[in-house]
Amino acid sequence: MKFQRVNDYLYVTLWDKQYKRPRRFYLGKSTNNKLAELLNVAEQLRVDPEEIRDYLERQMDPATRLTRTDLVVLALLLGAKAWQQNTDSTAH
Amino acid sequence: MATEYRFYSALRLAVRLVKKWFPEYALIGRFARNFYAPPETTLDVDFLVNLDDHERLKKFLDYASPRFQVSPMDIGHWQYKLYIKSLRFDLVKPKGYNYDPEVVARRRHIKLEPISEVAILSPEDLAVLYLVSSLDRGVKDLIKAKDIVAYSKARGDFNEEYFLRKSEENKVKHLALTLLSSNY
Repeated sequence: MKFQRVNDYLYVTLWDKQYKRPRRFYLGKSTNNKLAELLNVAEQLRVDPEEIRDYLERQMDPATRLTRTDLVVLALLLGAKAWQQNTDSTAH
Repeated sequence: MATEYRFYSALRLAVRLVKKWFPEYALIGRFARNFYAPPETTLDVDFLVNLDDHERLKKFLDYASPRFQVSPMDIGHWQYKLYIKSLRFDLVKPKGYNYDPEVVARRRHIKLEPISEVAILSPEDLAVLYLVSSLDRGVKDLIKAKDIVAYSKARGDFNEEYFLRKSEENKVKHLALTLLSSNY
């Protein structure tokens, strides 16, 4: 990823794999550029291959190739219960 | 058990209510993300609907407000909170996101035992939506987009070309290309 500052403005050049050519994107003013910070973070983000393997083996439903619905519902229920307990304790 | 019953009942009611006024709805947020990546707990359920249709929104508010707690009550906001059996549901249309007919057509319809069927945004569109919201909300939404991309690719369920095209339409292609630059 290559950033360029032109006068007070910031650009980044990226390989556009859709069109198979480099492409320049305008990011806004160069001072305190939040988009540049986001791009730097995005470049560093990784998902552990071991966690992906574990997800495919234990949490994915082979029939639908999506997360098992019982786990999705459980995540919602646990969140709702935590929220309810928090609401109850606030009310007390 | 009582919480479970109340929760299912509230979710069923919310889906039925939203579907009646906004048939193009899609569930988004962590609930939808959890179908594509390892589940994380969530405190509310978010519906993406066309809040720009003010006539329909007004009819929805007129119908829902005597029955449930809804706020705000006037037109023109990007987010409405709906409380059913003291559980919170959000109706949203994030600024800068283009919810077009192609996105609606690509929704996934999922059979969910206690609620029957729900529509959720496709993995590609949900990742784009997270990229758009990361412009305001920062890194945490970027991480959710990355999770969806990485796990969906591992499931063999991710159309990269469509994702890039929609990223371009929503002005976040630089973020999409950067996310795709690493395998995991």
